[in-house]
Amino acid sequence: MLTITIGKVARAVGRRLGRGSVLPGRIALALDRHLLAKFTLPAVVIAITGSGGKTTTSSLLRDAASNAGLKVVSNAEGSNMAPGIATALIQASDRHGRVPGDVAILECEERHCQYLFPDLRPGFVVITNLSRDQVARNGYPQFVAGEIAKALTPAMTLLLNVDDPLVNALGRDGRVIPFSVEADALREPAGVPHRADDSLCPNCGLALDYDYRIIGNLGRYHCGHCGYQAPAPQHSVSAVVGTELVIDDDYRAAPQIMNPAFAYNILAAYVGLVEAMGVTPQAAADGLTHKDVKNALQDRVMTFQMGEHRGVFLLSKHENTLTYNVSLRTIADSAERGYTLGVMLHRVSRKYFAGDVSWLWDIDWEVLAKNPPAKVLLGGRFANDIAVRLVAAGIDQDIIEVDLSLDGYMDLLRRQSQGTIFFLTGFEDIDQFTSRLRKDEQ
Amino acid sequence: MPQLTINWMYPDLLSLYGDRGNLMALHRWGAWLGLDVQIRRVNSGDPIEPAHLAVFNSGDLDVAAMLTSRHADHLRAAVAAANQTVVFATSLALFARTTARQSNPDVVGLGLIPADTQEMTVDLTAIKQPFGDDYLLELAQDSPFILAGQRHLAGFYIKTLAVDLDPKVSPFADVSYGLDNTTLHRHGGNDGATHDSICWTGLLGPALVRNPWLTVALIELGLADAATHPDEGRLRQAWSLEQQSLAAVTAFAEAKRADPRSWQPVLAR
Repeated sequence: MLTITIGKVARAVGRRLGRGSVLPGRIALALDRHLLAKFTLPAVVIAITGSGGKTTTSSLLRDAASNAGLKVVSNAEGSNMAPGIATALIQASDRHGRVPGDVAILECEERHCQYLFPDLRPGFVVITNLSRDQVARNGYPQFVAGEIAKALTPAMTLLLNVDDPLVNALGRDGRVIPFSVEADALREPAGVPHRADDSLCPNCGLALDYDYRIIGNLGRYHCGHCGYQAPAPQHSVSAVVGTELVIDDDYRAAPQIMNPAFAYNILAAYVGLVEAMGVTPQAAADGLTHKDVKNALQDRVMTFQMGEHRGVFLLSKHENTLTYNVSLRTIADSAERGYTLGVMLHRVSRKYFAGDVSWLWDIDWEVLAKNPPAKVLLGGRFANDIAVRLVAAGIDQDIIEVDLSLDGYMDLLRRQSQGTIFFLTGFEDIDQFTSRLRKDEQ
Repeated sequence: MPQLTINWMYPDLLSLYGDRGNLMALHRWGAWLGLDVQIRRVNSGDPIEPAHLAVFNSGDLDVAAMLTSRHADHLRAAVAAANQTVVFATSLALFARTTARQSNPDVVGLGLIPADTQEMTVDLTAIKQPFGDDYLLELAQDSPFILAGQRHLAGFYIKTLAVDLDPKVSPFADVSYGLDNTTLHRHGGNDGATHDSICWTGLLGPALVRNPWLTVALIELGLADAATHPDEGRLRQAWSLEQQSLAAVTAFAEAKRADPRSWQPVLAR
């Protein structure tokens, strides 16, 4: 318990130094490697992991659980690895390590589950999806699936997005609650080209056949060789009516934005509320409607002003095909004609210093053919690589302009934009862009 | 219009991180050269027709094991039917003699590239850096893959395999930045291999996109006598975007090499 006290002191000091989100946990873990096992956690511990949607699902769960009257502990402020989680628990606990509350909602980095779960012992694990993400550290999705598998035990109840063939394969042991998005309105249009490695049968390694896809490798699949397929879902988004998702045929939730990725996040949160926290289906659906959910998208979709041009900022995640595809579908479906597409790619990763751009070639930029931009303005160190990709996707090279420097790029956006600017970048580059935007506004 | 025929091998099975870009690049530059480009998707069991080029993108080692055990004759036929075969990254396991796996049975390859390989150990608690990084290569002066004097190649690798080439096998290029075939040398040693009509490189993903000079060189090798050598001045003008990209990534990698501390460990717990 001394370690927890030291952690609390470190947190107080860290907050003054502006380093309160992971430093206390890092110090405390250096003193006790199994610190996380020393906390007395709430009766319900739910871990959220996967390649994409962890933060949004955790945020939705947190807000909706609070709306349902539950006292929640989470690692919302810190990182999703051990130091961030330790910091959150140090803050929430008393000096004996008791963490009061009804439920702990813990976002966990997918490859680190094997180190976190033995100490945290979550009773419920939500797995959102496994897609290509951060090649330099994750290798390929099958590798990440293997890393998660090491963390799972039969004592855990797995809440699985079985539309993902790799996630479904993680449910071979233990209690599984499968969920799925089936709504016609959310299915991917025909003709979108796909990379293949995430559509292979986890059982026999051969290509899966899809009846339909919702997005990327998520959809209704079966293996024509060995018969592998998803079980019937216990929970599903069965339809879209107006601006509402119909869940389990009877309950409606109105998301902040209507797109397939967000539908999966809403559904995962709903399943967590109902199955892990005992919230009634009606209360769960009500609690997930946009009026009551505060934080899920506050930083993902924003508007800004650039001179005389209105900007719509769609935050994606570099190296993650899924997030970019969702943003591009939003642009293709909703942008008025004559818009400007801005993309900035300067720092591929916040976590390592490498310049892989292969993921640009997995993104379906071709959907822009449905609603092509009038102007394309590209910025950052790897702007030329985006330009090459867009030309291959059929964008006229004559409408593309590039500037590698931030100063030059901001100037380019200001001078050369036409119509509304739809601006895409990742978490990794957003701080530079927005701080410069604020500075320019002053 | 002269044709360029390409057998895109196992597109449903071999495709990691942006590999489809390689086919887009071959199509784009073939068309630029005035060729009628025919790309045939060849899945396991499909008939194999003669082609100027055969392309094997990278894939999971389990897939390599499945292909070599069930479709060895099909693989051999694909190589025999192409004037030039190009192989990326982990698909070396198809053509090397053996690939020793960490926790799975070894992959017994066709042995068309005289080499043995070993799957790298990935211990997340031990390594302090990602197992992928930028990759800069330089072709040897007498390399048949040089076009218009362009010897430098840029790309990325995931170091999945440690490779020992037999002495009689020529490497594909020298490594300027990144880990070499053996994984023993950083920013030195050799990448890839060329043997008979097969060339293999550790460059991942859309290697042919980032290096159109290599793409055009491969097309020329594949076409052999039928090739019409392109105007080099026009070529340089046409690949200006890629040249700028090469310059940017080279400067980026050089800065990292000059200051190794700029590497941030990613896996510290």
